[in-house]
Amino acid sequence: MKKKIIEVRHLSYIYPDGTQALRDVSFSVEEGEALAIVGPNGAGKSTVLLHLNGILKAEGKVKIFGQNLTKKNIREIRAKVGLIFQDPHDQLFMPTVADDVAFGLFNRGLNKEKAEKRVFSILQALELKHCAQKSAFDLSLGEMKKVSLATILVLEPEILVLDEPTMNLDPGTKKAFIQLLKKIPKTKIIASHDMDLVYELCSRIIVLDKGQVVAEGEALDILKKSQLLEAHNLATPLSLILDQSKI
Amino acid sequence: MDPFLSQKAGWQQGLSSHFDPRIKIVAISFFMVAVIFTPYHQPFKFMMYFLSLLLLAVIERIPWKEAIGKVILLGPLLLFLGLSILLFAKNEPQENFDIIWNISLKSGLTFFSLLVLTLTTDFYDLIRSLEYFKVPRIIPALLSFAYRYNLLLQKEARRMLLAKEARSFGKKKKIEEIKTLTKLLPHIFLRSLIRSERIYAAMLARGYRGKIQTLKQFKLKQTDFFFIILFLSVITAIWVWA
Repeated sequence: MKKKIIEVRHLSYIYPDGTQALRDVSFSVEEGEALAIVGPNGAGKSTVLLHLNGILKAEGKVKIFGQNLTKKNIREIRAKVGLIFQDPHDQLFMPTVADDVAFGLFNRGLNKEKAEKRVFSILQALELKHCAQKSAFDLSLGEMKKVSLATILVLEPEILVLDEPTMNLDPGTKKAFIQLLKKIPKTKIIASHDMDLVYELCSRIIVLDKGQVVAEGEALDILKKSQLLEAHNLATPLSLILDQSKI
Repeated sequence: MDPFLSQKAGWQQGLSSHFDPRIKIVAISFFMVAVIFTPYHQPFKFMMYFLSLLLLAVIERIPWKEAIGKVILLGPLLLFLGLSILLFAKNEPQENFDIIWNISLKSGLTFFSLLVLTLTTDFYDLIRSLEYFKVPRIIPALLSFAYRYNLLLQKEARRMLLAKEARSFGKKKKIEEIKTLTKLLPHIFLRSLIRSERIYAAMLARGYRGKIQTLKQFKLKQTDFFFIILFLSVITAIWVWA
């Protein structure tokens, strides 16, 4: 049996404006698995993700690698959980791509030489070396998404948390990005309503609606339940329908 | 693209765009001090200041069209100031004209010197230099974010205007257009606020502890020393010239 590395128990969260974003959400994630959190707009997917990195704190318990999230261990937890935001403009705020990738390394206390070495090695691995001295504003959306990924991968987190990673990408770029994510051998938690991405990448799915977990199970089992998906403004992925028609 | 907003502004092939930005800040600051402390009734000195700055601007190949456009912006401000002095200062008319001349001359020259600096230096290099001069960390950080997100906010504002335009029928009076624009402003501010919160969250997620570092390191070269010595000598010579 694999080790549970994330345990969320009875998580409820109310935004300062009074909106109840999460109600008694519980789930766990095993080492190495790719979990999808799916749901319609406003279901609370992003809010769940922000709790995994300690950015939001709420009622309930969040355990990462068996440790409860506290002020004392927040830095340690953040080093293990890499969070990639939905809009890359939020993630890329530094003057250049290289500085953006180095940002987390400096916060970890690395010196310039070591940081520079790691920055350029990750940029090379992701075929982004040509962007190093560019501003994020001058990049295409696909490049920005890859750079966002680089800013986290360079920190070598054990868990990757991605919020709508394929949003607004054209089909070609989306396909390439999914292939790239597939190659990363880390535990992944992906919030999305892009069901093709979920079908391609994830082994398990949690369906969230109005801040509550409404279904949970193996990816294929959930994806085949078209009525369940439609009831929550989701749809069976086209790629699954095509694969089934081939059989 | 407005060169004041472009990162490429400082990458032009001028001579001093390759100088260390810290050296340029020292040079221009010294120039401004010299201008401010030179008595206004010494027009020859001001002419020399202007010529030395002009020479620097030519060498640096500043984009003249944009530079002149910005200098013109100073006009209404000086006009307003001049009229206020003429109308409200209880001095002799000649004294008032002297004050206006003094202010116009010095503000014009210092403004032009700052233009030369900003048009030939990468904006982020200027910000990094401020950190070097121990300006409180929050100021370079704020400037850096304002610069980074300026274009993005402009883009968002343009999209909102376009959406408004798409739902407008027929020609509107100017005053009505201004009213609509003022109604859009709070939305832009709100969007900026929400974005700033998300950016802060993204910073925290990568372990932000209040210090922002960059990879770039400044290194002083021989040419930097040559430039600063030459520039300071010329300006000092003009300043102390009896």
